[in-house]
Amino acid sequence: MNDEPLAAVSFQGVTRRYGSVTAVRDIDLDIAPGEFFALLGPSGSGKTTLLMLLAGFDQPSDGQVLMSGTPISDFPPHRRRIGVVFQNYALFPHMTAAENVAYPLKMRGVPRDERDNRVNAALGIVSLSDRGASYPSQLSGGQQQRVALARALVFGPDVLLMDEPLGALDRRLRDQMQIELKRIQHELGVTVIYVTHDQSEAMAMADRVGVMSGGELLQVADPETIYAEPANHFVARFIGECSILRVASFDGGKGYEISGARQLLPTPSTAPFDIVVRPENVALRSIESSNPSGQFGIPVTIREITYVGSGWRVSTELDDGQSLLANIPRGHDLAGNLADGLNVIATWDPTSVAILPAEETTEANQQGEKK
Amino acid sequence: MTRIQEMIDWRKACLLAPVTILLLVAFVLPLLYIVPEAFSGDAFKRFLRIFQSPVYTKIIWTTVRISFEATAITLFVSFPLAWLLSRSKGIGALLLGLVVLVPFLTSVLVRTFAWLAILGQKGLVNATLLSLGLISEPLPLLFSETAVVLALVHSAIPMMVFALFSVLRRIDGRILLAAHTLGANPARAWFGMVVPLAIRGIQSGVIIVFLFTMATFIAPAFLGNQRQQMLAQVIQSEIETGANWSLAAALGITLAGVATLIVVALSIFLGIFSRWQNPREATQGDIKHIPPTVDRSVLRNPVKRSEPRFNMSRLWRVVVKYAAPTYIALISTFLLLPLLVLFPVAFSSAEVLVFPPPGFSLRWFEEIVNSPEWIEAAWTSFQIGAATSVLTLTLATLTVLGFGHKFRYRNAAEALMLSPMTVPAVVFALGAYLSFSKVGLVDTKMGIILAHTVLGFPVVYLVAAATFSSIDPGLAKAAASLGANPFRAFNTVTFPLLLPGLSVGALLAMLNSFDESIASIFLSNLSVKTLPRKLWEGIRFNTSPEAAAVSAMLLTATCLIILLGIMVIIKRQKRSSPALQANSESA
Repeated sequence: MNDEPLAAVSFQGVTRRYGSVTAVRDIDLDIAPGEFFALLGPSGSGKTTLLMLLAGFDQPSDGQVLMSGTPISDFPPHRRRIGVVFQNYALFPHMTAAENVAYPLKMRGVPRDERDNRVNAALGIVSLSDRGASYPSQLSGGQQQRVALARALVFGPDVLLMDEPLGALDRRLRDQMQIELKRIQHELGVTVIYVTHDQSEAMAMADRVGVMSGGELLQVADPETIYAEPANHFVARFIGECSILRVASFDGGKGYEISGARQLLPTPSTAPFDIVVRPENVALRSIESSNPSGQFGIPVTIREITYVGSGWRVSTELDDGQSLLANIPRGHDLAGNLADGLNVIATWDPTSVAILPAEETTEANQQGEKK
Repeated sequence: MTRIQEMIDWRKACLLAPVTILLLVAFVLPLLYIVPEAFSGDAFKRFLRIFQSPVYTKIIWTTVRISFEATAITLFVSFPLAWLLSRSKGIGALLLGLVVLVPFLTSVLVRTFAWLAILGQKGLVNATLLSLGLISEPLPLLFSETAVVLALVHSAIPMMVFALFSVLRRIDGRILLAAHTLGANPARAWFGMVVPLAIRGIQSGVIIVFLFTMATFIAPAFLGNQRQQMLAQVIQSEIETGANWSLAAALGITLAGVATLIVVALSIFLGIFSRWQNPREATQGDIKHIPPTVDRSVLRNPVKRSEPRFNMSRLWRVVVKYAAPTYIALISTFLLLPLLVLFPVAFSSAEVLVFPPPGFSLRWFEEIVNSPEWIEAAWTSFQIGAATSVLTLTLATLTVLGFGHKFRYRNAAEALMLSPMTVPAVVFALGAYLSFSKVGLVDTKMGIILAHTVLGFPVVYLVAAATFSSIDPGLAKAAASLGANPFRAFNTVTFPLLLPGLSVGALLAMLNSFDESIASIFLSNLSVKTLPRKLWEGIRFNTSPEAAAVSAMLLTATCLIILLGIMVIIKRQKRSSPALQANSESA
C-alpha cells in the first residue's frame, strides 16, 4: 500500500448487465474520505444502479466495489456501514420521528442510554429536537427529509448515500437544505455520495462531480473544471448553458477560424476539435462601433430575445447557420435597440473558450440544454 | 347558490332512492323481523334453554373455537401469498391472481364437496397413502374437526388474500430497502415493516373471515360429525325441518350477538396496533426534556457492531431463492387440488366416490343431461342469476352516479350500502326466510332474486365505484363545455368509460347469484329449486359422482366466465394504454 489514505469508496472496473442491457459499464472511481461527491446524470444514465451496487442491493457482473480497501461483495446491505437517504425518504410511517432515528441503533443492539444520546444528537443536528414524538404524516416534506437524514447519520456510517434527496422539495426549501447539508457534512466529516440530475445542485455542493450518461462515467472533476473544461459534447451541454461551434483549425491546431475570423488558442490542439462558448463570455457590439486594433469578432444576426431580469439572453445566428447564445447586461450600449434581425458583431476572449473533441453529428450545433 | 345546491341534492337523492329502499325493505326489515320472532311467547325460557343447556353452550363454544382456528390458520397461510401477489407484475401476477380468483368464484358448496372426494375412506389421500404402503388401514380423516377447519381455511383464503392485498400493494418497497440499509436483516426488516403496515388489512381480513366461518353450515354439515355441530347448522336444520322458528330466530340473535361481540373486541384489540394511522398532535408533555447543549460529536464515532459468528448472507440468498417458489407450489396445490379432483371423479364409472376411479365413463353426465330436475334447476339458477345481475347493476350504477365525485354523507351512506357484507349471511338468510314467508315470497324466484341482489350489491358497488373514481371528473365538464347536456354527457362520455367496470361487476353478480348457497338453501324448496339447492340435497342424501359431475360443470362455467372477465379487462387496458403512454411521455 502507498502513503495515500485508502479511498472511502472505490469502484474498480465495475460493470452491471441485465441480460443484453448494460446498465453501467467499466466504472473506475475513487472517492476520498470526507469528500462530498456528486454523481450527476439524466435519468437512466446508470447512477441509481451504481448506488444500488454500493448499498448492496445488487451485485456487479464484473469488477468490484471496495470500502476502505476491503471488497464488500460478501457483505449484505445491513452489514455495510452506509447510511442511505432515499428519494422519497422511505420513513417508517408506523414509527415516530425519534423511533425512526432510533431504528438503526436498535438493530445494532445499542444500549438505551447511548441510544437516547445519539437520537437527541441526530435530531439536534437537523434542528428537529422538538418533533421527536411526531409521526411522519404529521411532518412537512422538509421535516421528513431531515428525519431521513438524521436516521441515516445516527449510527456513524462511513459513507452517506443520498439519492435525489431534495427532488421533492420546492426551490426555496431546497436552497436552504443545500446549505444545511454542507454544514452537517462539515461538522461530522462523513463521506457523502450525492446522486442528482440537477446540475446546479451538484455544482453548488460537491467537492467533485462525476457526470454519467448511458452507463458510463464521462468526466470526474471539481465543479469549476467541469464547467470551464467539459470533456465532451454531452458534459458541455448538460452543465450550464453554452453554444458549441464547429470551427476549422489552422497551422496544425494553433488556432481556429470561424466566419472568416481567426483566433489563436492558448494551448494548441492537433486533433480535430469543436469549441464551447458560454453565453456570459460572449460580448456583442454594434457593427458601427470601432474595431480596436483588429480584435477577433464575427458578424451575427439576432434571432430571439428573452428578458431574464439581470439583462437579456439573445440567440444569434452565424453566417453559416450555427447559433450562438450571448448575454446582454442591463445598461449595455445595445440594450435600447435590440431587435430581431439586427446585425451585430460577437466577440470573446480566447481564454474563455474550451475545446472539445469534434463530434460528427448533425446536432453538433444544437444549443446546450439545461438538465 | 343554495338553491342550486338544493337541486343537486334532489337529483342525488332520486338516484340513491332505489337502492336505499331495497336495502331497507329487503335487508334491514328482514333482520329486524328476527327480533319479535325470537322474543315471541316465552322468550325468557327460550334463551334460558339456549344458555343453560349443555348442548347449546357446547355448540356455541364449538362455533367460536372452530371460527378462531380457521381464521388464525387462514391469516397465517394467506399473508405470504398476499405479499407475493402484491409484489408481482405482469404474467406472474395474473397467474397468481387466478390461483386465488378461481377458488374464490367457485361455489362454496362445490369446494366443500370436493373435500369428500379427497379425505373420504376411498378418497385421494387414503388411496395415495395405501398405494405407497404407508398405511394399511384407511385413516378416518372425514367427519372430524380437522376436515371442517381444512375446508373452511380453503374457502376463506381468497377472502383473506384480497383483504390483505388491498393494503399490501400500497406499501412502498423502498421502506424495506431502507430498513435493510439501516441494519435490519431481511427477516427482521420484513416482520418489522410489512406486518405492522398491513394492520388494517389484517383487521378487515380477520373480521371478514371470522364472520364467514361463524355463519357457515355447509362445511360442518358435510365434513363434521355430531361433535362439530355449529350454530348456523342448527339454525338451518330448525328451518328445514320446520320445527321451531322461534328457537331458530333466538339462535340467530345469539349468533349475531356473539359474532358482533367478538368482532368488536377484535377491532379494538387490532386498533391498538394501528393508532399511528390517526396520530394525535404531540403535546408538551410528550416532548422529553432535551439538554440545551447536546453533544453532537458522538455522531462522529461509528456504532460498533459485533461481527456475526457465521456469515448468514449466503444462507439468506438460498432461503430467499427457494422459499418463495416452494411456498407458491404448496399453496397453489392446496387451493387448486379440490377443484381439479372433481374431474376424475365426475368421469368415474363407479356408483360411489372412489379414488382412483375404477374406470372412466360419461354416465353421470348423461344422467344429469337426461334429468329434467337438474335441467330445471340449472335453468332456474340462470334466470335468477340474469335477473339479479341486471337489477344489481342498475342499482350500482345509480348509486355511483348518486354519490358522484363529492358527496357530503358519503361515509354514512357507504356504510349502509356495504352493510350486507358485515352481517353473517346465515342471519340474513334466516331473517329473509321468516319475513318473506309472511308475504309469500319464500320458494319464489322473486324472493331469491331479492336476497341475491342484497348479497351481491356490495361487491358490484365496490367495483363500479373503483371504476368511477378512476374517471377524471373534468371529462364530463369538458363534454358540457363542448355543448353536451348532462344526459348526453353521461351517454357519450361517462357511461362508455364506466362500462368495462360495470361488465365485470355484472359478471361477478351473475356468478355470485349462480353459486350462492346459503340464501338459496333457505329460500328455495319445492316449487323453485336452484342449482346449489339441488346440489345441497344431492350431497346430503347421496354422495354419488353425480354431484361431482354437476360440480365439474359449474366449475367449468365459472372458469369460462372468469376468462370472459379477463378478456374484458385486457381489452380495456389495451384501449387505454396508448393514452397512458402519451401521458407519461408528456410528463
